[in-house]
Amino acid sequence: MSQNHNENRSELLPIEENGKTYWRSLDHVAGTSEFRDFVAREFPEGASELNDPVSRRSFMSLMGASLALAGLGTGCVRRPEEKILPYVRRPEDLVPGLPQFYATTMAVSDMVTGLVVEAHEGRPTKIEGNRLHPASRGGACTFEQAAVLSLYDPDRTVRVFQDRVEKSWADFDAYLDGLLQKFRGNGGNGLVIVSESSASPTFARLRRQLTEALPQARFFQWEPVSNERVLAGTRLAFGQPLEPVYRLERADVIVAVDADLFGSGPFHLRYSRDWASRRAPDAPGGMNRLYAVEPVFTVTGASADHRLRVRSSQIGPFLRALAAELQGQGVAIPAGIAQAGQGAWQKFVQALARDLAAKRGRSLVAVGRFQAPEVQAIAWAINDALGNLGETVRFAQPADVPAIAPTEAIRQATALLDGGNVDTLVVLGGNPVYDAPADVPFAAAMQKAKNRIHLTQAPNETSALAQWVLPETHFLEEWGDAVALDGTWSLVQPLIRPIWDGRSKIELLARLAGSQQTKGYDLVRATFLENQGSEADWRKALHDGVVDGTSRRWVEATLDAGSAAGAAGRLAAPKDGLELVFLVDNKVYDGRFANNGWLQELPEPTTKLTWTNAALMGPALAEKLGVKSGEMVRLEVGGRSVDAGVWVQPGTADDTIAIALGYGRTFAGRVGNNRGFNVYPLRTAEGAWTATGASATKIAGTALLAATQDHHSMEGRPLVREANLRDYEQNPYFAREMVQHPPLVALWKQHEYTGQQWGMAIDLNSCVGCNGCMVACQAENNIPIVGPEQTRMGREMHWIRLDRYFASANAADPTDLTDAEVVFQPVTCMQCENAPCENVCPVAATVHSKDGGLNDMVYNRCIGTRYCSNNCPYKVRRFNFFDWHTKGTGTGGNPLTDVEKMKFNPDVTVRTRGVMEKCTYCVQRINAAKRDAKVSGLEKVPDGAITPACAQTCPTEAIVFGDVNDPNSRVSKLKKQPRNYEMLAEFNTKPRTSYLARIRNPNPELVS
Amino acid sequence: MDSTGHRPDDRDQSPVPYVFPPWVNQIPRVLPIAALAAAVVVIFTIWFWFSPKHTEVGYAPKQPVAYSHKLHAGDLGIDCRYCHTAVEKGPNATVPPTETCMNCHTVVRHDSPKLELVRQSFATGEPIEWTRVHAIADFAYFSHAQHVTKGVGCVECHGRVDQMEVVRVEQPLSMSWCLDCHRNPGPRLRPKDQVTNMNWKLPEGEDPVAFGNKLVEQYHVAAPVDCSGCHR
Repeated sequence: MSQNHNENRSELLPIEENGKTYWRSLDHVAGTSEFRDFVAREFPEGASELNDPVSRRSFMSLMGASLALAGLGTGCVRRPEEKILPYVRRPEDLVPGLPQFYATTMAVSDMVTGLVVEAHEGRPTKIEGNRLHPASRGGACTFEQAAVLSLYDPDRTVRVFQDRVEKSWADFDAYLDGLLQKFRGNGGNGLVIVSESSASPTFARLRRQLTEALPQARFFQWEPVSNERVLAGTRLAFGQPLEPVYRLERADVIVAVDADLFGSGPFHLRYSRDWASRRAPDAPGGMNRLYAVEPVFTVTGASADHRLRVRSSQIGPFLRALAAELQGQGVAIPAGIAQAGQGAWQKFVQALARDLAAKRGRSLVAVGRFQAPEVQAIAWAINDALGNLGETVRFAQPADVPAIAPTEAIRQATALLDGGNVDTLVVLGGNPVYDAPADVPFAAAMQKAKNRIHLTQAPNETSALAQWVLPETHFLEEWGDAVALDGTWSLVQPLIRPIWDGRSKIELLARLAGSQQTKGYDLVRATFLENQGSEADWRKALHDGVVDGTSRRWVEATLDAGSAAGAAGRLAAPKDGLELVFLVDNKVYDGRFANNGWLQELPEPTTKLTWTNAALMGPALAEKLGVKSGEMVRLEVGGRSVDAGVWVQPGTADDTIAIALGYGRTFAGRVGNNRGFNVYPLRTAEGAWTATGASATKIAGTALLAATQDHHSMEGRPLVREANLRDYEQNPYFAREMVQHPPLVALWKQHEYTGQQWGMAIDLNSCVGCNGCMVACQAENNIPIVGPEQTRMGREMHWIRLDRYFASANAADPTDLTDAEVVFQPVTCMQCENAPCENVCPVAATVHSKDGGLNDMVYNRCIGTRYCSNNCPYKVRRFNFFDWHTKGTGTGGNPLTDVEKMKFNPDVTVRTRGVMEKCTYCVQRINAAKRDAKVSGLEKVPDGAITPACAQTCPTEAIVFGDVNDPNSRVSKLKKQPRNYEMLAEFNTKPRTSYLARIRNPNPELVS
Repeated sequence: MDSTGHRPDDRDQSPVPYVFPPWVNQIPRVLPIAALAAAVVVIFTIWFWFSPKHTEVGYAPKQPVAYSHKLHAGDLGIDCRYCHTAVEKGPNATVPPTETCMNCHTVVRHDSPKLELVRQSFATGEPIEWTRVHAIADFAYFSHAQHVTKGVGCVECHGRVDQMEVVRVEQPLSMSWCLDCHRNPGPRLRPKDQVTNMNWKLPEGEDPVAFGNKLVEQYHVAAPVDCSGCHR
C-alpha cells in the first residue's frame, strides 16, 4: 500500500470506540474519493447542479412568460373558483376530513399479516399492523407498507384484453361459458389451472369444489418461494408434514442456521418482536443470545451476538459437527446424526455446544426454509435431543397443503402442457414464465395450450404469452380470508371498490368451479359461516380482522430417529468450488413488487443497494476474480449463464456468490423494467437455493449500482455505541461517558420548554434493520421516489434512514472486513433544541415551535438556499431538486396520473421543487392527537396517543415517542436508562431524539 | 439665441443646433425620486388593496341552488349543526349531503322549481356542485372542531350568515387575521352552548376582558402560534 493511500486513510476518520472500529462501507475503509466527497460535502459534486434538459435560455423564456401570465391573468384576481361536491347520501360514520380505519389482511404467498388500513373518504392511504393479529402484533414490514403504492400503480391491468384488444367481462364470461360447457361434458379433460399459492380457506374450498365438478381438470399451485422444504424436512423427521412455529421469547440461546428469522418469511415480524422482548439487559428471564450461521449477511445475522460465515452447502456438515460436540456434552443425539467436523469453525462449534447443552429446553436451533430437507431433519433431531420441541418450538398442522409441492407442480404442469393435449390453461395470478425453474421450460410449453387465460394485477411476462389478460383485484379491493402460520383465521375486506373493474382469484375460481355464488363477499362469508360461526361472529371478525380462538391446535411431534439418521447419511459430501446462493429479496420479494417504486428505492438492509440486485461476494473472492464493486461478472452454472454487477459485501462466505431473485424484469412496468439482473435462468428445480459447481469470470462493462450507504456520512465520531453485557454491567453509563467534553455553553439565551414537549428514544438493541420505518415514513409523509440515477447522486428523499456500520471481527486488523459485525442505526431529524439549521436560514423558514419544541419546516417560506442542510450535523435534511411528484422523475419522467394521486396523505403538504424538507415527528399525527384531546376536553395529550409512522410500524417497538416533560411517559423512562445517549451531544445541539446503546451478549468463551 | 439657433455661449462653438430644451437637464435628477415615489405608491396600493381584506371579503359567488341562509338559519331558526353536522367532530364543517335537504323538502315545497337540482341530485346520485365560498390555502390546515368546541362562535369568522340571502366572505381569512385571535383568544370566546347563536351578546355587567380570560382558563384554550400549528 502506498504512503499516499495511508495518508488518505488517516484523513478519513473511521469511528473508533471501545476498541472497535466502525466502517460505513468498503469505500470508507479504502478511503476512496467518492466516499470523501460524501463526508465533506452536503451533497456529492454535481448534485446541486441542474442537469435536466431545461437550458438557461429556455428557463429565461419560461420565466418571462410566467411572469407575464402572473401579471395579466391571475395576479390581481381572487384564487381560482373551487367546487364542493358533497355526498348525496353520506355513508354512516364517515366524517369528511377524518380518516377511517378498517382491519384487513395481506398475504404475500405464505406471509399472512393482519393489518389496519387508514382510508380518507374511501381511499386507502396508509397501512399499519393489526395488534390483534399474531403475525403482526401491530408491526408491519416493507411489503405491507408499500402495498398502497401498488394499488394505485398506473401499470396495473385496467381492462379485460383479448389478444391485446380491449374487451369486457361480459365478453369473457360468454367465452368462458362456452369453454365450461365443453369441460362439463368431458369432466374437465384438457383444463389446466396454474395458480399462485394461497393461504385462503375459501380458495381451498373452491379448489375442492372445482376438482369435484371437473375431476379431469388438473390444478397446480406454483410459488418460487415456498415452505416445501420445511414440510419435507418435518416429514423426514416426524413422519408428517408440520409447520414449525418458534417461540423465541422462551429461548435463552437461539441459533439461526441460514435462517432469516427477522427478514422475510411467515411470522418474521412476530419473531423480531419475541426476540427483542428478551433483548434488554434487564429483560425478565435475562438477555437471550443469538448465534447466526449463514453464507451471506441477513438482518438476522446482523443482529446476532455471534455470526459464523459458512457456505450454504456446508450447513449440513456444520450441524452434524454441532451434533457431535453436543454428544460430547452428554446430549443424547440419536445415532447416525453426529459426525465430527474438521472445519475452521471448531472453536465456535464447541462453545456453541456447551452453551446449548446448558440451556436444554430453553434453546433453539432454527434452520432456514431453503436448506435441504435432510439438513432440516438433522436440526430437528438436535432440537429433540435438547428437549426444545414443545418448549421453544411448536408444530401446527399445515392448513391446506396441496398434494403436490410447488416445484413438482410446475414440473408436472409443464410436462402436461408440453404434451400438447391441453386445451385451456388458466393462470391465476403469479408469473411462472418469469420465475419457473430454469430446467422447466414453462414458457415454451405454455404456448402449446390452445386457450391461455391469465388473471393478473399487472401485466407481466406471463401475460405477454396469454391471449386473455384479466384484471385481478388488489387485496385492498377484494373480499378474502387467510390463515396465518399458527392457524389464526383473518379476513380480507375491501377498503375501496375495484379501481379497474377487477375480479379476485376466488371469484374467477368460483366461476370455473361452477359455483352458484360468484361474488367475493358471498364466497368468503359462506366459508366463514360454515367453519367459524354465526352472523355475530362474522361482524366481530370483520371489526377485529381476526377470528378469536382459531389459533391451530398444536401437534405433538415425535422424532423418527431412524429416518432422521437416514437423512443425515444421504447428505452429499459438500463439493469445493464456487457456489451460488439465491436470496429472497427484502424489497421486490420474488419479483412481484418490482414495479413498486417505494420498494425499489429502499436501500437493501445490509448492502444498501437500491434499484438493483448484485452478485455479492466477499473481499477475498473479489480479489481472486479481479473484480471490484460496480464491475461485471458472468456467472455460469450447468451451461447457463447470466451477467451481473458485482458488489463486494463483507461477511460473505468463502467461494460464495449470493444474488437476489426478482430483478431484471422485462414486463413489469415503467418503474420495474430492466432493473438489476435476472438470475432465474440460473435457478433450477434442484438448485433452487444453492447451486454448486458454478463459475464466475470478469467481463467488460460496468454496472451502475446505486448504494446509499456512504450518503449522509458523519465523520469519525462515536455515533453508534455498543458494549458487551459484561462491560455494561460493570459500567452501565458507558455510552454517556464515551464522549468527554467540557461543560457546554450556548451562545444564545436558552429557551424554557414548558408544557408537553415531544421527544423520541430509539433502542439500538432491538432495531433489526428491517427498513419498515423507512417505507412507513414514505407512505405517511408523501415522500417521493427519485429514481436510480438521482439516488446515485445522493438526492434520495427518505426522511428516516438506516445507517449500517461494519466493524471488523478481526481484532488484529480493524480494516479486515472478511468477518464483520453490523450495527444498524435509524437516523432522522433530532428536533434539536439548539438547532444549528435554524440559525442559518436567511428567511426563517425553519424555526422552533414553543408548543412541543419541534424544529418546524415552513415550506412556503423556504427559498432553497440549503444553508440549513449544510449546517445540520446529522445530515437529515432533504432537498427537492426537482418536482419529483409531478414530473415523476423516478418513473422515467411520467407525470402523475389521477389514480396515482390518490396515494397522497391529505394531512401532509406535497412539496414542490426547490424546498427543503425533513422529518417532522409526524406533526400531523401530533396535531390530530391534540385535536382529539382538545375536543374531548382533556388538558394534555395522554401518553401513547401519538405514534409517529416509524414507531408504529416497528415490529420490535424500538422507537418510542412521547412527552419528555412528563416523568411517567414511556419515553422519559427510556431516556432515564443508563444506556441512553444523545448523538453528537458534544455540539450542544440538545437533540430531542436519543439512542439506547446496543448491548451484545457474547458467549464468554468466544470473546478473545 | 442668435439666428442660427445657437445659444450665445462662448464655451460652445459647435455649429450643431440644440435639440433638447434646457429643462431636460433636470430629468436625471427628478426621475429617481419620481420612480421611487411611483414604486411606493404601487407597492402600497397592492399591499393594501390586493390583500385578502379587499380581495376576499365580499366574495359572494352565485350558487347552483338559490339556497338562503337568511330563510333557513335566520327566519326559521334552524341550528347551524342541523346541516353542518361534522363541525364539532372534524376539520370540515361539511356541506350537507343532498339527503339532508330532502329530509324536509320531500314534504315542504316538494315541487318548488328552485329545488329542481336538489331533487335531480337525489334521484340520480350525482352531487350538487356548490361553489366554495370560504377557502384557505391548501398548505394551511384548519379544523372546525377545535374552534367550535372551545367556544369560538360561528359568527366570529363567518359573520351574520343568518342575515345573508347569498353567503359572502365577511373576514379576510388571512394568516395575520388568524394570528390576531390566536395571540389573544379571550375576546373571541363565548360559552360553548352559545357557539351557534348568532345573536349572542356579552352578558350585562360582565367585563369583556375578565369574561374572555375566564373562558380561556375554563376551556383550556391554548391557541398555537407556532408554524406547525397550522402548516405541516
